[in-house]
Amino acid sequence: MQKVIEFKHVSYKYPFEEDYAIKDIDLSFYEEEVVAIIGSNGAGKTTLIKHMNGLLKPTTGDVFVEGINTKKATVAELSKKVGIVFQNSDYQLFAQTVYDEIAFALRNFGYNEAEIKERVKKMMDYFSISQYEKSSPILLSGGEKKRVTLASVLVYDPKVLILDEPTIGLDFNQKKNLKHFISRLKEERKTIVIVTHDLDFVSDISTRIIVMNRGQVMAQGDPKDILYEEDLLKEANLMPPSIVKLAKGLGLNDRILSFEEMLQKIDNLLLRNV
Amino acid sequence: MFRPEYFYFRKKDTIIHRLDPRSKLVYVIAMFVWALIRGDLLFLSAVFLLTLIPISLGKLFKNLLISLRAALFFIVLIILINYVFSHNLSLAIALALRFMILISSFLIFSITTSPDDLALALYRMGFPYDFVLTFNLSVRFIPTVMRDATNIIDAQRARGLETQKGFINRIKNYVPVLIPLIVVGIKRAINVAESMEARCFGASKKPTTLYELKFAVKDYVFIAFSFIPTIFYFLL
Ligand SMILES: Nc1ncnc2c1ncn2[C@@H]1O[C@H](COP(=O)(O)OP(=O)(O)O)[C@@H](O)[C@H]1O
Ligand SMILES: [Mg+2]
Repeated sequence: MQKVIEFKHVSYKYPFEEDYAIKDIDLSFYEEEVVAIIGSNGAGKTTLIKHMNGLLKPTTGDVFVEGINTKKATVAELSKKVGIVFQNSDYQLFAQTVYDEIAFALRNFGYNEAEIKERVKKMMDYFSISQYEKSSPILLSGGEKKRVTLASVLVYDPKVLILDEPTIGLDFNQKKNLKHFISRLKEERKTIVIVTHDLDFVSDISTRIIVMNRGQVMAQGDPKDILYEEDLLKEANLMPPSIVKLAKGLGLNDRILSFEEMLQKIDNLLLRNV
Repeated sequence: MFRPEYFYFRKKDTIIHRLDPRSKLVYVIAMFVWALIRGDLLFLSAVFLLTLIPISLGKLFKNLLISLRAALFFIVLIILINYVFSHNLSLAIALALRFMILISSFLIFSITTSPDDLALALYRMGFPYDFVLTFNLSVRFIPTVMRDATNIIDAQRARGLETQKGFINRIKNYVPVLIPLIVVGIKRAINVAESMEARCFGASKKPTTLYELKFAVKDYVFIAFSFIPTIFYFLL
């Protein structure tokens, strides 16, 4: 697999702060993977991802995006490759209509109006928000806003898509829809990075998990290894996903993360007991 | 670029931070008077040097340097204009020093006084509670609003907004930043108002306070210190 983003000994300190927000980060992100970055509040997750499109430049160390040092490129150049959808939709929605909101990035990147129209329409279809084309994005519901913000980044087709706390403020159905979109993007072979402390959400869609705590990477690896490490999660102030609690409660030895697999397993157990 | 964090309260434990806000208020007002009362180089240099004592006691040298550097343009401008019109270099420098005294003494007040203490001081000085609270809330939320602004700018730059290129561009680009800032601000204001009402704000016209302010010996000393320039005034 091709390496897309690389962190080399990256530390970052916000101006006027005493402590480093992230410390000595060494990480790589590859094509076609779905990486979950998990960690409690203040662990440094958002600070980390702001380095991936050059919004923050390392205090020490270097970040490379497709081999280019982020210190030598503009945020706009890097953003074309690495799209970030931030946690709070209210921090970005500003346009008069949903159409203009989604077209914003394309206009900044200098696409012509015909191409913009085609792409925006496609996105509105993709996220089922066509009926809001002329509505104000600010007045939509939480889940609809999230879809507009996703569309407004995906519209320019970045190679890497980063979602910061995408599930916050979403109800059950909206989360399910979001998961569905992510699975579709996964099939389109994008690199997806999901930042969250909602382990239920990422347990069955991620291919790799990175655990952060106090600005450092505590562990990384296969979801089955990470999410079944109770002590590790406890140390990082995280709740294990419900499916892990269920498996442990049932006394299962297999590390199951998918719902279907769990159903199968429970079915077998019941059959055996009949 | 203007960075309000240079002037904003930072929690630290120094004798200046522990002073009663009222004595610091007296100090700032006295310093402003001293800065304006005379316009000659000798007197103003002495007053400026005197402000360096609380600056060093409060560990504020770095803040002062950063603020002076930010104000450098105006300092140079004051010197140039006054020199051009008066051909009197010492007067021109004196007027710049006057400006620096204002910066330095205001810094001593603003960076070492927590908004809560200041509000309490104003309340005790007889300002109406509503006024004091509004004042306190607006000061307290400065860091929050600043962080909002940073996050909004980041979110828009991540979608290709250029914030660095050209003057016209910059003004045009305020729109995608200002609108979310206002929306988020209004939402927060509504939240704060609701949670205050839910906790019976306004039930009593004269609410009690959690802390009481008390003048200590150091406060009297500090106020006396504010009047040391009287000596300069008559001697220099
Ligand atoms: N703009 C900022 N200025 C100063 N400190 C910040 C800023 N943003 C975040 N921090 C601090 O950096 C640390 C990491 O924050 P963050 O990256 O937002 O964590 P997370 O996204 O994991 O919750 C925290 O201690 C936080 O207070
Ligand atoms: Mg965060």
